[in-house]
Amino acid sequence: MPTEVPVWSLDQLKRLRREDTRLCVTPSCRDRVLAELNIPVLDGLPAAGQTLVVAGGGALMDQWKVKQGSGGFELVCVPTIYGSGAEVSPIVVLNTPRGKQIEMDDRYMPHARVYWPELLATVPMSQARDACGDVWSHALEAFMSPLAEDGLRGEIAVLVSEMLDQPLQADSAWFDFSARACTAQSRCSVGLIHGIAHSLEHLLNDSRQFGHAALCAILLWPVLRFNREHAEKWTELVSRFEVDESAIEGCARALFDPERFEPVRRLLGEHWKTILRDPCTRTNGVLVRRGHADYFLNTSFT
Amino acid sequence: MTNREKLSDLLLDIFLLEPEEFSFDLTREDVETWDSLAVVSVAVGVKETFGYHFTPEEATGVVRVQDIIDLLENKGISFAD
Repeated sequence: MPTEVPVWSLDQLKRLRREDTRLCVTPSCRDRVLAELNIPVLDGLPAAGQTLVVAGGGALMDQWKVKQGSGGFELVCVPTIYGSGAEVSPIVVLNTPRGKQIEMDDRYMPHARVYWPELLATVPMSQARDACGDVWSHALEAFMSPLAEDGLRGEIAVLVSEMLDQPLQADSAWFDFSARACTAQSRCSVGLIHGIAHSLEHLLNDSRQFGHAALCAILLWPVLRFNREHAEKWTELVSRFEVDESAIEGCARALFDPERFEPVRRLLGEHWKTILRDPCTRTNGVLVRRGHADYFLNTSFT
Repeated sequence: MTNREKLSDLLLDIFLLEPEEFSFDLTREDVETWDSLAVVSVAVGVKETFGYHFTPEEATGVVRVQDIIDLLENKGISFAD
């Protein structure tokens, strides 16, 4: 199991030596970050021995997690939104011409992470809500994973109970939930939500409406219902670990958006074979079979 | 549906094979898609279809379709039909 990524305070980040540090920041919060940190913006690649501070979402962090090993620099991640858990995980999801490519390597673990909850204010409310769906999908798919052991499921059950007390909106508490959910899934697997998201994201061509977190939020309820209706595992697990099934379903239904689901549904049938081949689909808690496309094509989830 | 039919249906879906590509003599070496994730899928599918939960050792020890049948028959699930 990978070691935990240390949490630095914002003050620790500010104390980094300017000459040994470079900053890569996502455009949406660039002004805010530059106003607080006296760190030069990266130009090209960081030099060996430097520390690279990356402030942004999961895709930006993953991009630099891969390069840090060969580049000889240390990576400090500052997630501007929760959900991906990229700041605590040895997993990277890379965009390639053939779609999403998932790699896992302990060398991809960041050197440190910094939580700066005020940066959440730079994220649109709808995006922050979708990111709650990303956290929920990590937690529930790990809970259902055929690779999860009961000890891990017990930890996830505690996490889920805490998440149920938190509204589905921007709040710094979700950074902690996100880190714990992502750590949990890196110890077992995710499932069909991620299999569909990874297979269709690049086809939907609207990162705001159909980015990864948005697809997780949209697919959470249909996949949860699929799992519940196609095997006894979900019902058995929620009973054994005493998690509140109806409250979880309430969250999943609240995140479901039928209008945004329709374009996703239209692609599901055509790309079902690709979805079946996705490694995440293949570690879903319930076996996903060829005929199951019909369930998603014909069921009303409203 | 007989248990043999249930098993062949299950494995066709897991290995993404066409019916004419399947036989009960298949081994892991014969099937390109019989990788480590398929081992997990077989364990999940057997539990859902036949109600038996493979131990990790049993799941990883399966290298032939016949091994699945032997394991299940040892647990009282008949494939004589």
